[in-house]
Amino acid sequence: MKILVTIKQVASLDEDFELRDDGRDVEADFHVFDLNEWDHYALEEAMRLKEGAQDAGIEVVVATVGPDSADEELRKCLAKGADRAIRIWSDDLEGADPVGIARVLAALARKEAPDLIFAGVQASDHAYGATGMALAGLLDWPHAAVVAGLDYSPGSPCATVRRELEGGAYATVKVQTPAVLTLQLGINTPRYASLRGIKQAAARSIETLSPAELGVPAGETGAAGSLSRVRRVYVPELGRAQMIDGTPAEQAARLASLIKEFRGEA
Amino acid sequence: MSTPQIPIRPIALADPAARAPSVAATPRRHWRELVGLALEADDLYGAAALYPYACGHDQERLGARLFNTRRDRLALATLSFAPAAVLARLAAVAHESSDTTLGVRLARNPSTPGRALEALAAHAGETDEAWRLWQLLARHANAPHALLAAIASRTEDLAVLRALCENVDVPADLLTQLEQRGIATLQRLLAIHLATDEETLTRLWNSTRANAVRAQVLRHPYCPDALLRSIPASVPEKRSVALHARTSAEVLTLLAREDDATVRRAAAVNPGTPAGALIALCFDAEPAVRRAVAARADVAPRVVDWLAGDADAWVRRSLARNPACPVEWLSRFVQDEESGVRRAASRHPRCPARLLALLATDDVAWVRAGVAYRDDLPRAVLNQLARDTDVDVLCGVARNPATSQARLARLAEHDVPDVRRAVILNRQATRRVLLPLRDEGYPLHRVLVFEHPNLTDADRWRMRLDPDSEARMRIFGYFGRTLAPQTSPATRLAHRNITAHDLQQHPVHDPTNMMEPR
Repeated sequence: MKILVTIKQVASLDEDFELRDDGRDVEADFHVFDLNEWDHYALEEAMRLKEGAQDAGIEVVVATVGPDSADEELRKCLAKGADRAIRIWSDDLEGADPVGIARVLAALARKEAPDLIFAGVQASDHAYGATGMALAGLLDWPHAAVVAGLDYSPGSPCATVRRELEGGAYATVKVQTPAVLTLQLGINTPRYASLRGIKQAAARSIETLSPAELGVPAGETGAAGSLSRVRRVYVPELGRAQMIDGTPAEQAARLASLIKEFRGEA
Repeated sequence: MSTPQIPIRPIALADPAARAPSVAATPRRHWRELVGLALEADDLYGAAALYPYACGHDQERLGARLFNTRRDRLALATLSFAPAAVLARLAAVAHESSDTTLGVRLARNPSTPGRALEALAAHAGETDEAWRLWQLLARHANAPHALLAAIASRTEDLAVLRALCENVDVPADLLTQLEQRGIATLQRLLAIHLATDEETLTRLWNSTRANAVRAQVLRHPYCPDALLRSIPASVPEKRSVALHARTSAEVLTLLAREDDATVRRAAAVNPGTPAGALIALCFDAEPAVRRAVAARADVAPRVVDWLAGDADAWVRRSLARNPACPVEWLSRFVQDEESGVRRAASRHPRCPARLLALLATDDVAWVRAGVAYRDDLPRAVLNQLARDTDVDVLCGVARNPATSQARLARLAEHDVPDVRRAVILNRQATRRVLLPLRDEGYPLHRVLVFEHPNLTDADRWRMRLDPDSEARMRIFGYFGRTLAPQTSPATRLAHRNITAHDLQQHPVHDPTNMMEPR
């Protein structure tokens, strides 16, 4: 049995940053890279299944679409016990939206033929929350989003998942496998990689593939295969907020005068 | 990881410099290795840790690694644990490259040294973009007084002036100057600032009738005595007077009878409130007032008698943990129906051994954990707790200085990281217990092991290849201090903050003689 875990190297930002000259992203110098938080949980769930059914011989394969720097995140997954790591990249993939990324991952899934695909609900940087579901759509596989609990016996034709809904409600859903599940934070407690695992992962090879090697046509790669494009990234202008000092009575009086001022009564 | 035994030889403390020539080669070799590691592995953090201790060619090479790309400069500028020398150099680079964002990041970094802040200010300019920089400089705790005074003299910007008033390091004379500008919105901040002197506080009092300002004046340690002799009108002011250490017993007695419960609570907290005034507060309708009485350091036995059966569990809890509570009352608290009260009794400094033994069998794990954290436990009780399965209890056992090394070794293998961390934090844990913990998965644990006093420098040296960049920075920083070429053995000792007491407790080993050959 095989579980494919799709991960992403995300970029976080500090307080002060600059936008690119084209106004479509943050200047790359300000990116601080890390493994997407949701992906720690997705990998842990795969490892939990693998370690819970040692006789089933589950292979956990992690995959990402990204440049060389994403190897660091794949190695974190190898250090935690993933069996193989695959990175897919070509410069054509620059500017791909979630659907464009999902096209490449779908080609990989057809090649690897996993029994389950785990992805995070969303990536912390762009927060589309779309790649996993787009992947399921492209594969035409059953899927469940925002999974907060998973009950699955390796080899079983279906899995029972607990989906998180609005208002604190949950839905228990039975899903046929193979399936794509996007996993929510808190579904498990991700482990720390052991020091031995980290050192061993540093020496392990990462398979690198291009979209062409996966059979993705040039016309469906990157921006060409995407359904959306970012037009503008910006920080909205600050509102006219102000602190009102003084005693509660003074603050209330000042607030009342401001309201009158805005209503044109003052 | 196997750990070969390294010969350990105590350092000759009487004359450390006398031994320097014979051992100088090893630190140089190890220093070169660290510099090589930082450069070859393209290790930004490692290079930053070594930079302050490097000189000549080494410093040039490390500097080239650190300051070459804007990406790295921006990353370093946000590191609150970056060495001052690195941040100072970055301030110069920010000027040379006209990088405003880099300057802002440095001004926001609490570790940026004063001279670097002065350099940033010297080239800040007056543009809109510089406004944020001035605000950060005005608030920075390392900003030299001259810089703060210069900022105050050149700005009318209210946000920058507010930042100055919120800077804990602003001297009294500058606060006086700011008060003399008569800006109403700064008055409360000036009254809060601990450096504001008595004269300025008096002027603030006289210049306003705002309760929010006057209440802060009355709470200030330098509040004029005259203001504390009468009872003010507003509740915030009364509360401040009731909390003040110099308020007279007569005024406190009156305030203890105030209608407002927060004022009565403040009077109950004040150590100067006379015993007579506290009697009524023991029976106050507001639980928060009774809790304050129960927590007083001078709580009298008859007050304990009155409050021990209080319906509010937090009152009983305050009493049970209060060192002034007579021991005989603890027998009652260990039987309390509220586990929080029993837990508080377990933390009473004079809780007798027989009660601790009873609490060690409590149904609630949090109570047993309270017992486990005590340093004065009888051996039998500690052994009993060591057989517990609750993580909190085991953490207490693992932190306990009386726990046997054999037990600590077993706890060091526990599945739960919290328990292993408690072992690492135990100052009595021996080197043998600690060595396996160098392979902890959690980087913080490895850093804590690295800094444990019972590890030798030879043990620490084997941790230099830590895969976590921030852990490696701590490790490199330590060895930078102790191995750098210009560092004498005496300075090495000073850098390691070793006291005479430490030397008696743990013989110091010269790192130069302990490290294994490569």
